[in-house]
This record gives sequence, C-alpha cells and structure tokens, in this order.
Amino acid sequence: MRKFLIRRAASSAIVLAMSVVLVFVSIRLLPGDPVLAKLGAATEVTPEALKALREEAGLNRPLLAQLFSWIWNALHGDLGSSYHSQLPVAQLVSERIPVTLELTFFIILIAIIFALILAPLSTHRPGGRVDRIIGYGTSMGLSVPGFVIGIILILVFSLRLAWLPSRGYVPFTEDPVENLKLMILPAITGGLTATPYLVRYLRASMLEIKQSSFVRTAEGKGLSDRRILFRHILPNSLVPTLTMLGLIVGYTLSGVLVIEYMFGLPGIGSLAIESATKRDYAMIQGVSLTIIASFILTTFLFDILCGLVDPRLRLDKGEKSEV
Amino acid sequence: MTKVLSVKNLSISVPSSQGRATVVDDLSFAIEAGKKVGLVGESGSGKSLTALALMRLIKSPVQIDAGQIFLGDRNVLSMDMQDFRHIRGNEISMIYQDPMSALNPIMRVGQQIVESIQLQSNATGRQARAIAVDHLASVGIPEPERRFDSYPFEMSGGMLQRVVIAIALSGEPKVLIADEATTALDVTTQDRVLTLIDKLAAERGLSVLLITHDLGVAAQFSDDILVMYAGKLVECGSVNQIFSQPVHPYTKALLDSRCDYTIDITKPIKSIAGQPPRPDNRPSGCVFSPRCEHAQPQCSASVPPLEFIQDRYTACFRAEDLFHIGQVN
Repeated sequence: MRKFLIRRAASSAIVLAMSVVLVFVSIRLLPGDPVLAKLGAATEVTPEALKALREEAGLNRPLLAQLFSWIWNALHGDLGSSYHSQLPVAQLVSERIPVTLELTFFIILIAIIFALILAPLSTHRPGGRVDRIIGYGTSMGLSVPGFVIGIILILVFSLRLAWLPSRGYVPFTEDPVENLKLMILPAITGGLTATPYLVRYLRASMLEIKQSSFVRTAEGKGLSDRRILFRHILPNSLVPTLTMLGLIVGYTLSGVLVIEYMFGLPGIGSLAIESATKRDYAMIQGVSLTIIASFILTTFLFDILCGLVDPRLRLDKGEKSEV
Repeated sequence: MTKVLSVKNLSISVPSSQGRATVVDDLSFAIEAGKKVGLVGESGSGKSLTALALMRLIKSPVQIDAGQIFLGDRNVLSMDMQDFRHIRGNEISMIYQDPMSALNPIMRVGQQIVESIQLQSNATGRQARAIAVDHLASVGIPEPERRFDSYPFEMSGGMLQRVVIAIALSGEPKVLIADEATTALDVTTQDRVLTLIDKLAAERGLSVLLITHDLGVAAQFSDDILVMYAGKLVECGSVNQIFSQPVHPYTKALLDSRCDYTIDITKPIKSIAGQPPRPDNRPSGCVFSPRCEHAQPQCSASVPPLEFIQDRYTACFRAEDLFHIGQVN
C-alpha cells in the first residue's frame, strides 16, 4: 500500500509540474500586453514609461528566468501580485476557493445520491419501463446545456415562485441559512449536469458485474437480492465508477465557471473570467495553478479511494501474490 | 431407494432467429440418495443449462418451458422464489465451472463463506468465522485461520475451488451439483479436487450430479452415467454397463473418440463425423441419426423413445440389434 501511494503521488507531481510549465508558456504566447491593458488605451504613454512598468513587473526578463523565479516563489506560497489590483494573488485566490469548493461539494453530493438511487433502479429490470424512463431522463440531462437548466430554475423558483434568491453570495460563517438558500439553485444546476454521466456509468458498470459468475455464486448461496446488490454488485461496480467520479469532480471544480457567473457567485471560476479579460498574467497563472492542482489532487484522492475498495489495486508491483 | 432429486420432462429453450430453439428437450432422470451420477455429453448438449435449472439460476432470455424438478417431494420450479431461496445453497448447492471467476474478487474468501453460514444459522460474527475456518480446514486448505483473510487473487485455482466447495457445503445440502468443477484446473489438481468431493460426499451421504465432458472423470467418479446429446438423454445406466457395453451408437462413438495413451500411442483418435446439430436446426427423428453409422430410414422418421434394454435405458431403435452385433464382435 505504501508503494502504491508513493507511486501515485510521484506521478501526480510530474503531471503538476508539466501542467505548470505549459500554462506559463502558453499564457506568454498569447497576444496582448498586460501593461497596456492596465494603463488603458486612452492614456498617452511614453515608450520609456512603458519600459519602466514592464521592468517593474519583471516582464522583460528571459522567459525561463521568469518561469523559474515564479515556481520558486510559488513553492514558498507566493504567487506574485495581481498586475491590476496589486493585491497578492494567493490571497485573492484563497478568498474565492471556499465558494467553489462548497458549490462543487453540493453538486457532487446531488450527483452521488441520484446515481445511487437511479442506477440500481435502472438495472433492476434492464430494458424495462423504469430503465427506459431513466434513460430518457439522462439523455436529456446530457444534451441540455447547464445554463439552460439554470435559466429555467431561476425563472421558476426565483421569478415565478419567489422561493429562492437568484444571485449573490453570503459566507456560511455569516449566515448559514442564507448561504444554503443561495447555494440550492446553482447546486441543482450543476448536479443535473453531472448526474447523467454518473448514472449512466454506474448503470453500465452494474450491468456488467451482474453478468459475472461470482454474482451467480452469490445467488446460488440463497442470498437475498438486496444483499447481492449491496455486498456484491455495488462494491464491484464502484471501482470503475470512482475513477469516473474523480474526473467529474475535477471537471466540476474547473467547470463551475458558467454557473458561478450565472448566479453571481464569487468563486474561482468568476475570478478566472475577470483576470482573463484583464490579461492579468499573475492572476491567470495563480488561478490555473489552483485549478490544475485541485484536479490532480482529486484524481489522486479518488485513486486512493479505489485502492481502498479494490485490494488488487493496492498490490505493489513485484509483490507477487502467494499461491 | 429413495429419490432425492428427480427431473421430469424438463425442456429449456433459448431465443433463435425462428422464435425459440429447444436446447434441453424433454429430459427426465432421477438421483437416488447417496448416489453419484455423471452427466456427460459434448459442449452444447445442454448439461450446464440442466444444472442451472436445478438451481433455478436460468435467466431470461433462456427459459424453462416445461417440466418439473422434485427435491424430495417438493416441486422446486413451482415454488415461490422467496421460499426456494431457503432451499438454494442449503439443501441443494452447486460447485461452479471456473473457480477464478466464481468468487467475489474484492471480498475476503472467509467472508464469502461466512455470508453463506449466516443465512442458514443465526451465528454471531465470531461463531460464523470459527465455522468458516473449520470448513476451510475440512476442504483441505492449509493454515485456514490465515487463509480466511485472503482475497481470491491471492490464491491458486485449486485452492479457490476448495473455497467454492466449502461454500457449497456450508449449508446441509442433500444434493451437490458439480458443473465441470475440475475442468479449469490442471490435471493433478483436478484429481485432488475430485477426490475431495468424493470423500466429502461419502462422509455426508450426499447425492452428487457431476457434469463433465471428460469421460475419464465421469468413469472414475460416478455410480451411474447419463449421456446427453443435443438436449436429449440418449442413454443412462450404471457406470459399468455404459462404459463396458454401450448400446447407443452415440455413447459408443463418444467412448471410441477418447484418446487413451496408455493403450497405444500411435493409435489415431477416432472422431465422430459431422457436427452436433445447432439448437435451431435439430433433425427430425433421432437427433443423432445424421451422424450415426447405423442409421436406418425409420431413425429420421420418428423419435426413438427411451426404453429399458439390456439393463439400461437407451433411446435407439436399433439398440437390441446393435447390442447383439456388439456381442458377436
């Protein structure tokens, strides 16, 4: 198990390092100039003043030098300062993280609950009426874009029924009730987008497991359907589904940007949009790093989770099974 | 002798391009208490489906069309599934074909036995564990206490099959079905597992239905032999009669096609000409007639009934003639 963890951690670190370099380089390759953007097009600036500003921001140094000093500082928790507001990037990002994490948590919670209810219902009688209805539902969920679901929810629950607020954010620590009320619609919007993937994946995986001989052995023991479902079919279907869930969590973390924007939530996603429009290199780098790191971290955590469910995955290379 | 298990007119069908094809056709047989019966036949003859039917493990699209299966005097097929669950794994249990896939890969093997024990009794976790360890010991697994906590991937095929046997015997079965129980194992392990089943069956007075395509295994193990061809029972009788004096041409051909290196290594292996008929394209009359070297016009005209001829049941119009020809040779 220890070797398994070390191996996974090492590969995660390599992926992280490569992504950081890629992000850094690709942002520099984009057209546009942060200094110009900061000054605004209307202002008359002398080339000398521009040069001075660039030097101050460290933009005239060789790319590689910029990269290394950035990585060095990042390792010390310093992501630089926003070119725009001059505030530390690390501070700005960490202010936004809780919002995104909370939203992602609720979205995934909704998806997991729905998947654990709908997939077993669906596989009870494959091709039956319930299975078909769930199939239509998930197809719709997959094809209708998230923002359409969001708009419908806002129309119905905020504007027509006036049950829930449509925009804004209050930290949980300030007003838990208001915080949760504000989270409901965005979480459902994201949840309805993530659920179909998980339901379909779990369903397919369960159907495959249902065919295996060990399920027949379990039936042959005289076990009840419920026990076979919970002790044999579900745990075995969970292994591939957990990997899928890890990806969904990763995508949700980086993909809630539309939802955050629509519901006016000050998360990482909206920060990314703001900094991109301002060409705030330091901010974009910081946000990208955060998103990449959280993606890698979730995949890592879900790998460990898989290892906990499936003993075969914990097997270290070279540690041959006994015969 | 009391009949522990009897099958009457069992028919099983699978979907085919022309509606449904019968794969087990009007099969009847019985197993007496404490007897070991070998069910032999080529792959596709309906042996395994028969076994699954006995356990009511037949699943759509395969279905049982007709027949009764009696366990003692209860008709298993007409029972409520809820009630049958108490019998399944308890009074009738099964050892499966491939031990490597017959066990849940992510559950400790001991736990898989415990699960079965706790169905039959209300033993506490610790008691059930002790019983399971005993079971592991009785099927000849060394260090059963430690092996209890192994996962299937940590054990060899032979050991896994012993675990499967332990699960099958964790109830108080009267009937044990062994469906190609040793086929996936190598020859030496095969022999050990077979000897183990034999020993356990004798100790507990079990009736065993051994399903195999291996005539050697069947001959070594069984008291009685059932020969199936294309979903039909073609001959059944005691192991001596069937193996020393087969009457049905199919049984004879099957015995002739064995390769026996102990007699003559240069002797070519005889094979039966042609292919077994596909389930959706069974010949009229006797199903074996197109491949039979003794076939006569009447053989393809009507189906020969199973008749008691020369101390065994056989379904062949020419059984009596062929028996006497055999005697002359």
